[in-house]
Amino acid sequence: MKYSHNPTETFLQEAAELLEQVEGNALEIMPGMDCTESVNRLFRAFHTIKGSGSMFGFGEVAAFTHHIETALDYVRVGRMATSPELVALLLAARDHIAALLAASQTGKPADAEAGRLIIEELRALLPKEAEPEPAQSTTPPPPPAAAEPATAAAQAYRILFRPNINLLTAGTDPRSLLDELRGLGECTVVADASAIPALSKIQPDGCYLAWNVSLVTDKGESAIRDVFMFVEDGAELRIEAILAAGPAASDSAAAAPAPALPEAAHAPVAAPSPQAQPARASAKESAAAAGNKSSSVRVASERLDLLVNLVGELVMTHSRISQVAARAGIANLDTPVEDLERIVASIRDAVLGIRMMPIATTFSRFKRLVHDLSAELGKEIDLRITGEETELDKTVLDQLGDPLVHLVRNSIDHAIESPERRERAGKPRRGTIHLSASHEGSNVVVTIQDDGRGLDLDAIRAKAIDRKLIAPDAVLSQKEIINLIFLPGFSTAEKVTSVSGRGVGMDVVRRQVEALRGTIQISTQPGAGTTVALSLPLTLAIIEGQLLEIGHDQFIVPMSAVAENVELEAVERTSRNGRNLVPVRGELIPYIRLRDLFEIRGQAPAIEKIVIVHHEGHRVGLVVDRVLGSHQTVIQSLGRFYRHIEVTSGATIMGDGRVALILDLAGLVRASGQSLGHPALAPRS
Amino acid sequence: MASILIIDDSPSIRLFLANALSKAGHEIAAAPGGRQGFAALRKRRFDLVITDIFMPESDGIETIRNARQAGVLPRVIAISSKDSIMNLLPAAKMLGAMHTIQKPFTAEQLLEAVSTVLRQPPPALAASTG
Amino acid sequence: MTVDDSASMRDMIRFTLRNAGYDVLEATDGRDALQKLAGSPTGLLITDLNMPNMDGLELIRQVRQLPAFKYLPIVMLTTESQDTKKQAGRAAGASGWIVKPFRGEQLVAVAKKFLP
Repeated sequence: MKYSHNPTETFLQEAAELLEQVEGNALEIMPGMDCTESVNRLFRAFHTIKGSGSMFGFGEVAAFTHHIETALDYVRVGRMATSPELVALLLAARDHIAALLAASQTGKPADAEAGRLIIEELRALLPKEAEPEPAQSTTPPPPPAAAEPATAAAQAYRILFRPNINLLTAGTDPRSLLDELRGLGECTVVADASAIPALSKIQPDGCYLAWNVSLVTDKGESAIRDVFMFVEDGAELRIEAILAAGPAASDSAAAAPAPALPEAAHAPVAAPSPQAQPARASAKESAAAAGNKSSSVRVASERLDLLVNLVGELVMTHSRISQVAARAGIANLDTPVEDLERIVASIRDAVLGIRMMPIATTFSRFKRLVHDLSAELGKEIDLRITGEETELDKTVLDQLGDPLVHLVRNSIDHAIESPERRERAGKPRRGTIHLSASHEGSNVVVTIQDDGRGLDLDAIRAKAIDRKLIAPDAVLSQKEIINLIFLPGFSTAEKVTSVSGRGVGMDVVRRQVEALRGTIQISTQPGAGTTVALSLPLTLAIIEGQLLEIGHDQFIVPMSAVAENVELEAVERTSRNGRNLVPVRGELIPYIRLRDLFEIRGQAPAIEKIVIVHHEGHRVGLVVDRVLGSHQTVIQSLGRFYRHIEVTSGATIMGDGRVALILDLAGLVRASGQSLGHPALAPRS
Repeated sequence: MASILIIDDSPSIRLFLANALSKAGHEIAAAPGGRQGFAALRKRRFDLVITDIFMPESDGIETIRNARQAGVLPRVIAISSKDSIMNLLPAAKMLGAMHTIQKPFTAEQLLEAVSTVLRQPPPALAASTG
Repeated sequence: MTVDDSASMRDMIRFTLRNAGYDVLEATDGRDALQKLAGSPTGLLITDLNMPNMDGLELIRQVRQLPAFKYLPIVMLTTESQDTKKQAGRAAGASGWIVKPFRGEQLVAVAKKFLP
């Protein structure tokens, strides 16, 4: 046996030897003899010829031999008996294969007709249920390998097929698709010609028809899909099982105009900007955020925090130097101190900028969310994103995700109507949610806008009355009614869906936003839509605050919380009904005397000031001696020993070296509520 | 450049594989059946074994199983005929074949599979009783 | 019509389809196919993508431009790794595809889709 170095030649020799073996074995398998061994050898021989033949370009041989192999497999497992006819066919097959192989050498084609006959006659010998030949045979003992479970029971389906306009010019005749469907079972077809445009606009070779088909079949959904396998892309295809024999499988596939594929990066309007690394607690990337094509460096977050702290101290120390220099009046000192100020400001901005990242990564996860959720709820929603290059402090960004998700979910679940309802209302079928971000002053404004049904003010009011949150005859402005939804325990959803049921009420959202020292505002137009606007500080490291003074002590309150400042005359200071209340433009507002709470010694001035702040929907007044204006400064943590002090969340060093405590409103309210026993200030349950 | 053992009962396939692989710079050894293949695996270390699944006497599945029990199983690529009546490829995978190729395949496909598999670490060589 | 520069491939396709009752014409590459198309009626064109002289994509494009073949079903043969080719083929006007290597039954099933 000499084998050449050419696999094909080797194959030809190998095949020749195998065929010789086949001849011998075939003659051995007469019925009545124990011929398992011979059958196995025969099977193996044909199997090898098929496999190797396919490898070396003998496709016709492989295709033909496949049938022989199949037949022999039936014999091998005992589903088919040997017979003289079988033997004859095997011999004929052997000859035919030899001829095919020879043909490749001599160029003289083998008799294809003979081959066809052999296969036909073999087929006739196969056990009845073998037709049509299974691709992977299900021999009784071993389980079918990777065979598709065909649903045995007949199942009714509703199929919507709206092909791509170019169906015909891509060479597909929709009639044959429909015929294929008819081949699967009982079928009723209704054509939908509604999309055919006017004659002047029609594209003559375009396909504007769609079809609604009812089909009863036992072949399973994948068989239905197979019919459309070449035309699915770019078309609308929906297959819905009706009269649940199993879970109703309703698919929403890509509609021709606006593909809504799972990882669809194209929100119809905004082109996605390069995505910066998602902000993660552990790994931080440095400033390459906006133009991420440039190289970037990984920086441990501790180092970054240290840097920020140092910069904070730098800023404050500089401000002290600047004050001292001003008072000292030393010649030539002014200029360098001024230069220093500019440099320090630049360093401060640069370092704080390191922690700034574009909001794009936060926004981009909504693409998936909107798609999945709208599909789940049977709504059609487009997501528009603008301003994704707007940058925010990383910590703010990290904590912004949660409230945004709640808001978007609410939009999808409650605000945007089902496509049918929208059409009935004369709106476009597809709803739009618009996420946008922009800088406004020293804040970032993030808005979520939808074109849904808007807030139902009457329903909100009714619910509030029902929950005893307001008196039945209370007169409220539109803004006040809207703000009712921020009260804890409030929800006007008719049913609790898996999406926005319990626990994701607007009170939680507002708390999250306020924890970021931000504010949230809602405006709505019934029937037309709702806009939620979040206003957030650019960074949490710096606070923009109102500077307050009591005696010699200074305090800072976040500017975002301040509503207004009012004077409090000594006369009005006396309590009414055991509570500290002060009338402000007709409204009675409870107040806290910080001088008393902090036990600051000394005399209060004749006229004190009240700083009225928002806190969780309530307005509370803080009584202080003086209000010294706004002040922007870097927050310093007080350190471990002071962490348990509720009323303050940090401190800052003023220009003259004094420390000003930054007030924590939640802590203040709690502390004063306890010490003064104010029911008005107790948290509502 | 790796040492590869080929196990296949078809001489033409063995030749084809050997040609393609040695041309790509690998060191080749070949065995005509499972029994000889297993013996070869025990005698020396290979980076990769490419084995046909369906062979007489000791088939590919057997070989993989035996090799694993003896603690000599290297990376494995299993070959089989496409739409073979006996689809043993899932079984091969369960026993540790890292990759499967179906006949017919081209030399390029083979080499691509080989380099993919070679990039992965070899299976842990502890002898198991599984 | 089957278009492929590999004789064994053409053989296999021809054999399989004739077994299934179709008449099969053969061409060795795009240029050859265009010439032969002009002469004989064809119900389905099956073409490989990699061919000398004129490859499958170019052939599809040119066929689509001929008024007589604007609606001709065209099936292309691709290998599994050529997903981008598949997209390009569809953009050029292909009606469907078959992934090599394929079984005879698959070929017949696809043919029946377009020529029942």
